[in-house]
Amino acid sequence: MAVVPSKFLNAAASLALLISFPARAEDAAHRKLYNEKIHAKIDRYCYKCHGNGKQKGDLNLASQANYDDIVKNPKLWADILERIFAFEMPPEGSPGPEFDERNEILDWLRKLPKEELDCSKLASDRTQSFYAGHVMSRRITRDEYRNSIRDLTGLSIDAASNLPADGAGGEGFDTTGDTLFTSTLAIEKYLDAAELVMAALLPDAPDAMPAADAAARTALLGDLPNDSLPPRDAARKVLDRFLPRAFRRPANPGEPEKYLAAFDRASARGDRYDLAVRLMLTGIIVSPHFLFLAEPEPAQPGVQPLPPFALASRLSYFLWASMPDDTLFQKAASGELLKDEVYLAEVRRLLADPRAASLGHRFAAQWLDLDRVGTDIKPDASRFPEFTPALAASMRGEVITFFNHLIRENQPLTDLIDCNYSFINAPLAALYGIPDISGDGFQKVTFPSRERGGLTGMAAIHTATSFPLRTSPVLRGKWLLDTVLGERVPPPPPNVPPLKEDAAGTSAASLRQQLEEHRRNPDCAACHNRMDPLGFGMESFDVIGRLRTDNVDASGKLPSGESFNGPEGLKKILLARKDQIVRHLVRKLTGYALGRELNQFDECILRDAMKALSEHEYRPAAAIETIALAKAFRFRYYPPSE
Amino acid sequence: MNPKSSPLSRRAFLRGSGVSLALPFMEAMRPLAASAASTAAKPPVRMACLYFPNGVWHPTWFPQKSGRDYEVTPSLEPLQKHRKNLTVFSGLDKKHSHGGDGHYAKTANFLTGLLVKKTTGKDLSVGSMSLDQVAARSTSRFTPLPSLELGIDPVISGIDSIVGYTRLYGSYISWRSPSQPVAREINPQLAFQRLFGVLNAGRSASPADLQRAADRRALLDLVLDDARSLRSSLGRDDQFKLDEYLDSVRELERRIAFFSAADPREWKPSSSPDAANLVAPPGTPDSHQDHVRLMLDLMVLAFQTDSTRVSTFMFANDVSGKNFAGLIPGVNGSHHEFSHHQNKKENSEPYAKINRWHTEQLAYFLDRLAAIPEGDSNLLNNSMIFFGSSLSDGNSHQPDNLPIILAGGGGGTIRGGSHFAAPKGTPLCNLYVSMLERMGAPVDSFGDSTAALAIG
Repeated sequence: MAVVPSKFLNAAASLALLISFPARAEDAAHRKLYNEKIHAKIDRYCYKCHGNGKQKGDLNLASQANYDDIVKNPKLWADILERIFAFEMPPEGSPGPEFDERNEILDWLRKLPKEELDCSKLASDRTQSFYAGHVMSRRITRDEYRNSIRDLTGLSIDAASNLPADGAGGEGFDTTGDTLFTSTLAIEKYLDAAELVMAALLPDAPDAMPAADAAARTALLGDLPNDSLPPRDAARKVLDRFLPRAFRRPANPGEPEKYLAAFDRASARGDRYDLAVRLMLTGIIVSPHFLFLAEPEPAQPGVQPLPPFALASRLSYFLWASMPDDTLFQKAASGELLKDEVYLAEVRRLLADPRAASLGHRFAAQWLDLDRVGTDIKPDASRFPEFTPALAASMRGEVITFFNHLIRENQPLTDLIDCNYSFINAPLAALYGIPDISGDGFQKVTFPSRERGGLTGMAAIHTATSFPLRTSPVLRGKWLLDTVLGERVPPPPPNVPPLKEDAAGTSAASLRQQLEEHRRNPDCAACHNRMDPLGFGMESFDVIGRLRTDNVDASGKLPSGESFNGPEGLKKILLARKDQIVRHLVRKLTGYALGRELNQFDECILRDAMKALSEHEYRPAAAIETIALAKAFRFRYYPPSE
Repeated sequence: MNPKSSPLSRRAFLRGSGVSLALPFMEAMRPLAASAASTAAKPPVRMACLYFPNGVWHPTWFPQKSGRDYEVTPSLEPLQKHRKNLTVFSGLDKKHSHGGDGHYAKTANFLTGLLVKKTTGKDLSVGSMSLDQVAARSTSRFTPLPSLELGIDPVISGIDSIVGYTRLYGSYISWRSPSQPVAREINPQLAFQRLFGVLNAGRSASPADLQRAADRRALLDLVLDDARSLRSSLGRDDQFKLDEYLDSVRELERRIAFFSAADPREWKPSSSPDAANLVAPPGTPDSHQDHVRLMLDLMVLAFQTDSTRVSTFMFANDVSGKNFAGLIPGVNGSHHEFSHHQNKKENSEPYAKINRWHTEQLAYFLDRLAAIPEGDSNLLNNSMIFFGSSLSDGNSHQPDNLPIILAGGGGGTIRGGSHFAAPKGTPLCNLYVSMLERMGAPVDSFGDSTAALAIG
């Protein structure tokens, strides 16, 4: 399907920052409320530190006490809303508003006019600092390293197992440049890994190689030195093929000679030809040109389209978490990739390739926090002996396989919320009580009843949202709000009174009672009224995702007044919010692709993606193509040098 | 396994499920020839910083009485045999951690004492270089490894969107710069191999080893050159990421070159583990305790051989929900969950037991250090072992009255034997100032310090 919004294909030259604040029908009531009530409250709780006297954090709110001043500064007031909402302001120890008063202020702040974006424009001045389009040059992640080595060498080895783990940042993904560090330990491990990889590819004893690896070796070496081909020339040919692939761009002048020096070094002391080549290639995969996705500055500052090779890498690391293949490399080399129709065709080709399974393994797994299931999230071993490492892997596998099915078959993303099928293997079939499934491979099953189907019916999710010994409607509700619906959940206010001592108990009935008690406290109710009822909808599943056999009460009543019962009812509630859920998923996917937290400009991508999705039955290709085509993805802003 | 293999074979290392390196190391230890080895030079002071997550249950941790005759509390009981070698602190505070969330804003700056920037990644900062790295700046030129960072858990993935911090803040206490954490080794096998590599580089140096080291240096030169040219082609916003690469490659080059120059160390260890007979453990043990002890053994080995003088260790990442079932009788549930005790006995009891388990591990570590002779003294007397958590009480998350212990004699400069009840609001960083002085890295101030703490 074509989802190329033509306005996205504007020439870069027209790009400049423009945020407009179009005249909004004035909300007289909002203004009146401020003048009569809210201003006095802000005066009372904020001006003491942020007024004409003290100006903590260089913030003087008293200097913009008029309603008209406030509406001119929507970003500041959105920040203020966040800080109050998160109980960060007023700080502990300072007098703060009472419960109802606080809600009144928050309500008023939420109704302030938002700034509106002109999506045909992009970029910014230096004060916006990280404008739309900014993607940092970064080191490749541990997984990207594993995949890149696999695709570069043709060896089926896990070259990354000894590398230090990467943390995550931005929207929650390891692809975030800000949180990808390169420590000495990492360099040491890269060197070790490079030696291991090259020893597997070009071993001392090639006769003992497995057939597949031997084929990779033969392909790598090509023509061996002979009477008409001196060793150094043969090595140069190897290098001319290998270096551009490893560096994901043609060789720079002088570069091959530099690496040939390593070949010379080994040859000079009498190393066998292939072993001298080995030393040379070892250096290449420790080079920052291999380890970093770097996007050198163009001659012209300002907003520029990414050059073709940088664009090819950005695309392949988004969709494959690996290096470009030969076809993509050729499209970059010819410059064709900068043509929209060629680029779009490549997006579709990559998406159809098995390597796009990285979207499940890396994107979905991080979005849903699957990596923690079976590692730092483990049900109690004595109470749940069924929870083995193999079962944990099966749980994670179900989610990943399901997600990749949606991508590969371009099935509606709303299937994540509700459908009647999933992909399970023997360990999961035993857990779910589904007959006639054997082996560790995942097969599609259609469920006879409505509890399963969709994320809320998957054991990985139930386990990730439980304590070691019991389920937690609070954790499950929080997961639905935060991870699925993308709603902001503030941390609990400081000094929450503990639950009543005698309310303790682990039976589902008493837990419900306990939480109801909890919600009588207005400080707790504000959020737990949103969270707990949703979570109760998943109470039909136990800690490791089995359907409970006791008569558990899985009903919930939302602040909106909607009531539901059990997993099926919960799914109906969630389906009614499908736009919100899918939009949040697209937000996360965009953050994964760009490797940073989204900013206000990126709202444009989300808006376009939602439009494309609604026109295409929520099929994921529409969203992925929108992201890949977005200016933020294909252009970069280069600040003028000083 | 071949019964004729060395007595210090893998089997000897891994007796049953209780992996113990202690015994083989001690057996393998033999006095070096009394000649050149024992010079008159003074043994150096070593510093280890050990972090455990989630705070402590106050009633069983802090003694009521201060001074030398403080009473033994249940959580500190395992340390009594080392009582004269350690100081129990109360009242120490980290004022820049009073805001922010309950964990990340407390842990990432455990060894910096400055503000942890609230961010999911952009402009990440813990305020300064950490205590251990500042100390290592002064000691690193003497040793093949500048510092040794060890842990148990991999870096926590993801961000915490509820509180707005990247979770990696809960995974690091060692920071090379305000924005760059130092990666930790968590696999004991790899950690052992790495340290043995360092030890062997100083000993055997077979022609093959020398050639490999020379090859590595040549490759590093090559890629360093790549990094320089790549850096200069990047915009300034991107250059600092390449700077990390450049710094790290230079550091590795320095390490490889260490043994090809004259050894800068005057003092030589009085005893030595027989490295040729040591076998790295096979991978990561299933038992948390075995894993922890292997890492502590490794720190002992690194200090004993003067391979490094500075080390950090994290028993777990912050917010750890580790289940100690099977390790501690009667404790069945998540560490973090218990730490939110709500003053209920069913939580505080296991919480206190988990605290005590950690002091037992510290006692084991101190035993090991004390058993290694150095001249007339021992390794423990020549060390400073800093041990503590980044928040006080797991239920309230306050960063005042931190549970802190300092063990070891610091080369005869620390008195020990008392409960040091610091006045409310005394900066933890005051202790850091005192520690840095003993590491030969004196500073006027560190973090939010106001003065040095009198620990002599």
